[in-house]
Amino acid sequence: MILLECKNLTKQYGFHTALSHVSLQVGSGHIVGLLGPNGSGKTTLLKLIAGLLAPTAGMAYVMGEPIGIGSKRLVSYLPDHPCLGGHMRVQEAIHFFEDFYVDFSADCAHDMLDKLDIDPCCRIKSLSKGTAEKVQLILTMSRQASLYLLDEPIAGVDPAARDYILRTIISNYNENASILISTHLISDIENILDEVIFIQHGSIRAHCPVDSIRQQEGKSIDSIFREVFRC
Amino acid sequence: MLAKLIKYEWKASYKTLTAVNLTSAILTLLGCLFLRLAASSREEGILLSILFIVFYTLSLSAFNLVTQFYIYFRFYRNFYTAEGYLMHTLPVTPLQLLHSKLIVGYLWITLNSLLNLLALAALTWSSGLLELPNAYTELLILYRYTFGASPLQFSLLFLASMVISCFSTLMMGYLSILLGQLVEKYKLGAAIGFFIALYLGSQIIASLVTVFPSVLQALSGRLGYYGQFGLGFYGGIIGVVCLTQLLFGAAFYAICLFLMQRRVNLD
Repeated sequence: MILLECKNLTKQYGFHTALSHVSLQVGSGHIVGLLGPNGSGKTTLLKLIAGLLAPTAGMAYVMGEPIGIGSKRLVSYLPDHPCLGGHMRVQEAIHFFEDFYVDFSADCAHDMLDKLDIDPCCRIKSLSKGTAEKVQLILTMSRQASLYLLDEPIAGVDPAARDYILRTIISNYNENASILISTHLISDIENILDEVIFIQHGSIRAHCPVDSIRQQEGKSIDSIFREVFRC
Repeated sequence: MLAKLIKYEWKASYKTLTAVNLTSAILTLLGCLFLRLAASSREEGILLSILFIVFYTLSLSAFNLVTQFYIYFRFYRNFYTAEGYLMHTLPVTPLQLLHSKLIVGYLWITLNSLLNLLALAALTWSSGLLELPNAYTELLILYRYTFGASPLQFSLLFLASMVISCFSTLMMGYLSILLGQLVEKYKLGAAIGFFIALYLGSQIIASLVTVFPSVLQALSGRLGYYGQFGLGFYGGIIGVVCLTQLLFGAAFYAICLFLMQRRVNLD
């Protein structure tokens, strides 16, 4: 079953083309790495699918739904920076998600907060950058969404927390859902990926299963990335 | 979903705005006490009263501005900064987002204006003016002459104009922010520019619409001799003000609806 479909998705900022005629399909039950150098269009693509940007041309569909209120019910999006109101306590953020998303599990969120030793009574603005990012990831992953869009989910946390986050990602999504992860830290996540999308200058250079690319090239994804995008 | 959005908007804004309105109410209370005491003394009392009125008017204007710009700021921050990533990925329609801000903002801005009106009434009562002999008769004549209405009629008219003006003021701020989002760079700066332009434009149009017919009437001699120019003039103006503000509010609201339904472009 196709979960995500992008058809000729294009985004221009003035004369600059951030994304050019991107077409792709992602089936259910896959963890897909969106890999590319800085400014390649990874965040733009995720924002277009999340409905935070208007495409210049083309369309995107999530389970056949065009981007809009219907697709937002199906997508759980984690931006690359904190977006929760600083005035909120962690507990209030959980209530907020519980109120707006029918697929959100407060028990699951509390369980993850306990494991990471985060006090739900803390105000979000009082948390460190890394902890605030963990809280945001916990909220994102506590939904039983069909498609997770994770923009740099492990960039701001220490290596020990990265392992926990990756375990959280793997253990909290259902087998029919898919995850699209954008990151630079390829070596940390390549073991959990089913597919990779290499993106450069706003265009997709390759979209293939991880196993086949490893077999063909005889190298890790991290090594291939370094060769393909060598400066 | 709209009710939930309103709940969270209220929770996010009530602390700051309650503090602003509470400070204003305490200042009014102190002012009433002060004017009571000042009214009982003579010359020094009058001077102190004048100084207090000046200070109080400035404070009240500052509180009004704080309320107004805090509501605009919440609209901007919640929708077009980092918080927008959360708000615009919620499974709600853009119109529900707009209306949640509009309802809560309107309640606060109207409450603020009503408190100002009450404060004015309380201060008038505290000044002791109404205790002078024939004060009510004098007031009635003054209102009839100036506004062409009794104090009660005029107060109701004034209240109506205030309630309508609150709506158009709020919509003007939201519209400026939405227009600012259409600009490629310096969106906040553009929003401030649009606000100034809309404010000046609406003031000029409102002034022309309000004053022009009355001046024409005066020039055509229908108001009789110059001394009678004031008779009903201000009362008439309020009706025109209500109408123009209603039209401005409706126009701003319609454009806001159109702009909100466009897909966002968050940086």
